[in-house]
Amino acid sequence: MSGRKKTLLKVIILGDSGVGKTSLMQQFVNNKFSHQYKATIGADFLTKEISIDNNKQVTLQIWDTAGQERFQSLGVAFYRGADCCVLCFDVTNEKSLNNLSSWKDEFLVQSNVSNPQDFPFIIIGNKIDVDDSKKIPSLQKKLSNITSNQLGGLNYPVFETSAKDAINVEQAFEVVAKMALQQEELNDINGGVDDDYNDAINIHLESDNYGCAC
Amino acid sequence: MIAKGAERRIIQDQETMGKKKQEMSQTYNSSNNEFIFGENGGKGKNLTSFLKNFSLSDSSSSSATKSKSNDHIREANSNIYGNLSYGVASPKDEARRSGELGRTPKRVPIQKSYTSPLGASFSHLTNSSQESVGTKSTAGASSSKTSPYYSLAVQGGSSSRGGRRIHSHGRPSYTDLDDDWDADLKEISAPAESKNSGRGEKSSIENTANASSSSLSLQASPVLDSLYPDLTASVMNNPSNSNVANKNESFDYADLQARQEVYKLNQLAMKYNKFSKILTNGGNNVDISELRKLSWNGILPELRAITWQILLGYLPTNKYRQASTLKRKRQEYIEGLEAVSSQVNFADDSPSNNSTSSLRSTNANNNANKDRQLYHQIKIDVKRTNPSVKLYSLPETQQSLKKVLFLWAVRHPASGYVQGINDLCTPFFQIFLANYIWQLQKYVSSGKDLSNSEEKDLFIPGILDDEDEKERQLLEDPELVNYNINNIDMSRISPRVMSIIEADTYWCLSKLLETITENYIHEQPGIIRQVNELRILISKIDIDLLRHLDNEQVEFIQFSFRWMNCLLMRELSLNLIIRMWDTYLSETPLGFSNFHIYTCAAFLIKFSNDLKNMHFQDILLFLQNPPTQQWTEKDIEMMLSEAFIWQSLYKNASAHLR
Repeated sequence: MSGRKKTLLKVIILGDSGVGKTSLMQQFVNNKFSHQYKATIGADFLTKEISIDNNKQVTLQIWDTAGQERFQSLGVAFYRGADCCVLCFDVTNEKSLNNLSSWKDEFLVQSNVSNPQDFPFIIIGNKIDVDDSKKIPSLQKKLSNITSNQLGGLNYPVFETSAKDAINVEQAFEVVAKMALQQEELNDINGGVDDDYNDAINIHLESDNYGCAC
Repeated sequence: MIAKGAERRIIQDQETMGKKKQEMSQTYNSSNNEFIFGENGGKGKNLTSFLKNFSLSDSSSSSATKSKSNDHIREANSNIYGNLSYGVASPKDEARRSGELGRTPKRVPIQKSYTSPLGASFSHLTNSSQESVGTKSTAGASSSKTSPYYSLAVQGGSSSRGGRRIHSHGRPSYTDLDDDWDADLKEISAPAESKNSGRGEKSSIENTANASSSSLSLQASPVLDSLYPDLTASVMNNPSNSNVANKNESFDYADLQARQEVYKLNQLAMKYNKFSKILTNGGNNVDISELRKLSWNGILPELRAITWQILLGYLPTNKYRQASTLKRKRQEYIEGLEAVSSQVNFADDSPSNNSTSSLRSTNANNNANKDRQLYHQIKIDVKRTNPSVKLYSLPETQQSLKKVLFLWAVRHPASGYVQGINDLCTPFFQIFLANYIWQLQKYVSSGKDLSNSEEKDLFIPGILDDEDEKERQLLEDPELVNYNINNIDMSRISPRVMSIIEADTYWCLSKLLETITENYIHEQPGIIRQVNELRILISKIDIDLLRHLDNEQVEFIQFSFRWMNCLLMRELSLNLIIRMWDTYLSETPLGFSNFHIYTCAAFLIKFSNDLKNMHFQDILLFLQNPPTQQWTEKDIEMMLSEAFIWQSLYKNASAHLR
């Protein structure tokens, strides 16, 4: 980190109430799972330092938001300056899957990012530990419908995870970090008008193609 | 708890009775003092440095201490007074500072007293006048719960001495030049409890001289005993200081403890009698303003339910209308529930997601879909309500909460159910459940005949029912006396009673939410306003903290949104919240909207010094999980007192908040 300030990456987690956003975050940040999380109010803040690519150290600043619609007007306060957005759904709750695109739209409206067309999103389907009988019928088909739908524009990397059993959580967030880093660098070039942390960060452009899971 | 408060008042009562003076001086050392903006609030470091100074001087010989500590004290006092000036010192503050020692007798010094020998207790007296007075005499007030620099008694004692000396040097008498300062205080302090005001007048010299210390006013002949109260304090708190200890009689701690036990019980009994007197009032209407005054400082657990219901305006103050009103309201609840419950199955405890599959059906029945969606949200949140508390993991409890929340949400479509409201109904639920158990126990202990007892007026009407078979079984249970909300088997409570508890919870929740409707409607303008006002308030009280937060780009909404949305219920344990609500419910208007902002300010400022040493990330992480696990009611009362002071200062000075 010689002379360079720490790279801070701001990540927003969105999705319907009860899909497991908080559990995902706790699993990722603290490697634990509990049945006793209370409903998130407003947004919770978490951080984790990870190293990606060539041992590049980054700090993820994660806003774990509340799922209830009523809190959406808060978005402005929390979304601004985001480098990546994680859209979560529950593989046993079809409505949460169908709501992904409205979460995305809501985010783009409120975050006012400079590159809405290619802003990095990632989709996480949580609770794959649950019995198959309870999962959304023909999930893969519906999922690919949604992600390949050109109009909906949700053709983003998808991870299926279990926060409970710690499946795929680490991997998903590694991709999140890479995507966020690239966005951050892009903002840096563009002058990062929308980035709160721009002054504090001085990153050189490094060409790194994150390999997404799809 | 209340017991603690009582314990602390013990000694002062004893002292007034005038026992052996030497002994008094010992017990006494811990009995006095008001509160300062101590480590728990205001600029704690001032208090700390004050104590440091003091403890230094304390270790020297007593005569040297006198002159030396006087300077320290004066300096420290001015530091402390400085807290009240909130920000840049102004001429007004100067006036306040120099004047506070000679204030007029009518302003009886506050008597929040500490009597625990280890300085660990804190109590509000039972009238609200002292609150206002406390506002005035914050100067010398001290509060530090677990200060490393020992007890409050030391501070109180020392500041009192400082006060005396300064007074004897003929400082100018106090004149209040600040209109705001006085604005709200007069009316509140006017009806001061006669006991206190009488005492205050009697010893008005001491009071005025030692505005900071109520200690002297607590004693019939305080002069000798309190001449050097700090010395006795040091004996108490620093037994190794034999030099000083030799000057005093040996101190029997065990004896003190025993006496405290007795007094504690006496205090509780006294408090019970006070509440009981107001609540029964010989069959006349309850004097609600008296009740508010008494309740502000905390309500006895067994009388909390009825008191809350009256304070909320749910239970009428008119005795003749109480039973019929509640009967009607409870019936209304049952009918309301019947009308909405066709949509949902409250007993349904299946995994929440199943219900959503029906959501996609069609929009043929849009309303039904909306209701199901609403119910889904409530269901997943009730499961997540106080998940670590056994009572809330029980299916009976969860079902009741679901009913209450669902009915409220359907009846209030502009707001609907918003996450966090689930938290708000839990204090009511458990208070009313506890009240039911208490009624049963009381009924049994009275020999199942309350008809001639005045205590029947302390029962919320319409709950007990001889006809109820399940209730009869409970009454015959020899274990009944040991039941409480944490161990009672909810399945043994009859549906009739559950419905009453739910109904009362529903109506009280409604009354509460009425005062903060703007918090939960679209875009939550009430919360946005509160968050903004909190920020402005901090700019008046602790500009350094505000600047630091600004520099770190921490936005108030990022950490205080939840404070407003859940009324600090995520930050403080449920028992502390219940104590806090005693005070909120005693405020007029109810404290959930505006008074709460001041509480939040006091809460934030408690951590001011910590926060100023942190950066963005750590600030947010800290405020998200503030270290309140060890907090006691004393901390809450401290915080509420500070909130009160700030409200008194800024409430009617709306320019401050613009």
